[in-house]
Amino acid sequence: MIAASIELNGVNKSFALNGERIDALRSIDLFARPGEFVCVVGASGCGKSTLLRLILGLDHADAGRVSIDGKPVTAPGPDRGIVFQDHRLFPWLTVSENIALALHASDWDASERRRRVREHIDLVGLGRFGDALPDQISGGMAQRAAIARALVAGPKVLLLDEPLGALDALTRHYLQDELLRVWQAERPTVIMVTHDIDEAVYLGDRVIVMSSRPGRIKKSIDIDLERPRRRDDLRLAALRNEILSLFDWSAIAQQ
Amino acid sequence: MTTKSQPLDAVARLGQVATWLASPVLLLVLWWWLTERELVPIQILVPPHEVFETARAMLADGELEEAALASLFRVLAGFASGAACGVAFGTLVAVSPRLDRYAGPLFYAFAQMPAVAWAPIAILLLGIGEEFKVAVIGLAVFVPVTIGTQEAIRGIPQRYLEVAAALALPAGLRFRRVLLPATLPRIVGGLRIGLSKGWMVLVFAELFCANVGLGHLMDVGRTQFQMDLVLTAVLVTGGLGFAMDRMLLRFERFGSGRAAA
Amino acid sequence: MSVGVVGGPHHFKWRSYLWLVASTIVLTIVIAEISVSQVSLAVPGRGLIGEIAAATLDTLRRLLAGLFVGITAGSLLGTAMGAVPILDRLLSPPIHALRQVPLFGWIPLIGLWAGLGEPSKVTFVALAVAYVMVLSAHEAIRSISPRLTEVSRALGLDPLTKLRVLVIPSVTPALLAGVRIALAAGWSAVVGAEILMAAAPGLGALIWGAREVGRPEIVVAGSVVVGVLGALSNAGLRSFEQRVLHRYYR
Repeated sequence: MIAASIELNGVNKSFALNGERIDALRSIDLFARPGEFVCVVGASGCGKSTLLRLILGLDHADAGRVSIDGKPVTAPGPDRGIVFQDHRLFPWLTVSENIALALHASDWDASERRRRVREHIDLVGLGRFGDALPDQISGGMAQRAAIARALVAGPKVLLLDEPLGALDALTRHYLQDELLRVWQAERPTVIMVTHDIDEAVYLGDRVIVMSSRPGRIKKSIDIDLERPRRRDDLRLAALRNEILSLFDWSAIAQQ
Repeated sequence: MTTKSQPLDAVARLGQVATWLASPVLLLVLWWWLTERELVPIQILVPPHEVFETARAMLADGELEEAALASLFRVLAGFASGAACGVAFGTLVAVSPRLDRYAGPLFYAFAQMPAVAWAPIAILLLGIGEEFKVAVIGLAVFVPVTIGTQEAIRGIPQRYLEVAAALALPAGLRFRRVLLPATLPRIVGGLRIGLSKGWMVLVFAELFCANVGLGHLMDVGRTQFQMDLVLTAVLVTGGLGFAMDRMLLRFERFGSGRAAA
Repeated sequence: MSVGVVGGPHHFKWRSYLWLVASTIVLTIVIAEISVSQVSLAVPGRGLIGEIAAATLDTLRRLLAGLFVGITAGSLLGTAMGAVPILDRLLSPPIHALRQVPLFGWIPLIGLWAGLGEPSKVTFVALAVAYVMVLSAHEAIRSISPRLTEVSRALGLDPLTKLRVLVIPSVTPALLAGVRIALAAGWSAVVGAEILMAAAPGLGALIWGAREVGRPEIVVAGSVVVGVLGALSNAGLRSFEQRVLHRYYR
């Protein structure tokens, strides 16, 4: 699989909420190298999710350009996969049916589709649960199924919208390592939105800090640490403190 | 639920009133427009002002008031008895699984029978007077109120009861602050369905056997080809039903507001 | 949510069935006894069974016609209102205003407009059914989760796949529940119409006529048939509903 570059140039996006105009994103410039793991952190309401929706093609920018490998984004496509904070699996479809849904428009024949679904169920470690319904498995497992669904069509870009935010700490740690393993196996370009700064510095090649209202990129910090990383690495702690110092605490207290 | 009345609510309240008024007004305008332009023949739909005239004349000679009071009395009597029995029976089957097992199937079969189908039997048993009308309305109210009450009590979240137990709330407080607010919405839901069923059955019963009442007026209007009379009675019936429904809603808000305050 | 037997027949055991049958029989006998003792003449008619069977067929035919028209029209209108916001804003107010009219208030109106013949009765049943279905269909469309809709867009599902995996499974429960409520409304309407709009065959008319000529046994028997058929059709629909839902929510 060949990863793709993601580029945003001068992107603005605002919308009306209760009659009030909200600048979700203002003059966003962002470039992600093919295969890069980029984490985006920021206080809630800073437009992080809007950023992903623009790259996915669910929303369209008011101004500026969003492109994948130089081609402008107009609509969702199989070259991009997304995982939401809630798993959003169809409750009436089994895990494998849910995953197979992402292949509905692919050129592969039925047996190849089955093989890919099987392979991705194994990749996220759900081997025995392919025939289970979403209600019958735990939240962590459902989220893994959602990751498999996002990856099964072989996307060049993987978008993660706080995918581990709703899970308990142990499951979250475990799935962070799983995510890294999956990323290293398939090497898509990853944009991950998170509010967990430890998670961002542990996973990302780069961490982008955003301010809110208007949503702007405040700083981009490279995490030049060799992988596999250790959670108790003191350099991670230093980076975390650096990022924390960028936040405007008085604004956060107001929210 | 917010029960606190802030000045800011005034605007919202005004908006609410406007939404209520919008539907009748829209319908009235449509009605007026259709008849004014003579888009429908007068035998099919009389113009609204004619209905208004009829209503005023009937109000002046007390005919409308008499009919409305008679109907209102029947509905209230039937509703009160049906609702009281329904809340009592619903509570019993909710609290006692044994009673539910034995009485449930019979009640279920009973609930399946359309309320109007009880009318002939009720006439056989009670004659064609007031008792039969009140009884049939009561039966129609009884079924949904029973179901609503049972579901309400069964549906009290266990965790609320556990909190109440953990706080060792005395019975009175437990009832006012936990049981009542937890059950009231669904019970009132049952009462509202019951009330609308009650009005339906009332009109039904009055259409075929009554000397007085709104349904009787409708029947007279139909047999004498007086559409204005029929429409007057229909409008008054709808208005009274609507007002009583609103009162139930208010009762729910009052009840749970008091309990939550 | 735990709902007992009163809420429905889902956990009937054989003992409950026995109870149901026994208590119905006892109740029927008691009612019949009281009514027979009240009204003196009680010689069972010879063709009682045949008469009731014929009336039942008439009623069922009328009910089915009304259900067909009412469910089709009601679901189409409700779906349109659920899917197109402008239609919703335009039609909701008058529909909610018309809902304030008690169902049987329509009978004198329909009587004035179209007489008391067969079309009027079917129209009335269809109206009662459509009343319910408009709301259920509207509700059903709105019960489609916006989150799953967004996933469907993110996956780029084509309309047909979207219909299959998103729309149909989402709307089916509410729609089926609506049909069951509509069926009950239909029974009320058909029996009521047969009683109020005279001069027609059918169970309602049979019961009513029997009362007027003093044949209590026909009144009771006819009413029991109405009750049993109502219960049977509801139970049948419910088991069908559960089988369909089982497909989606195993």
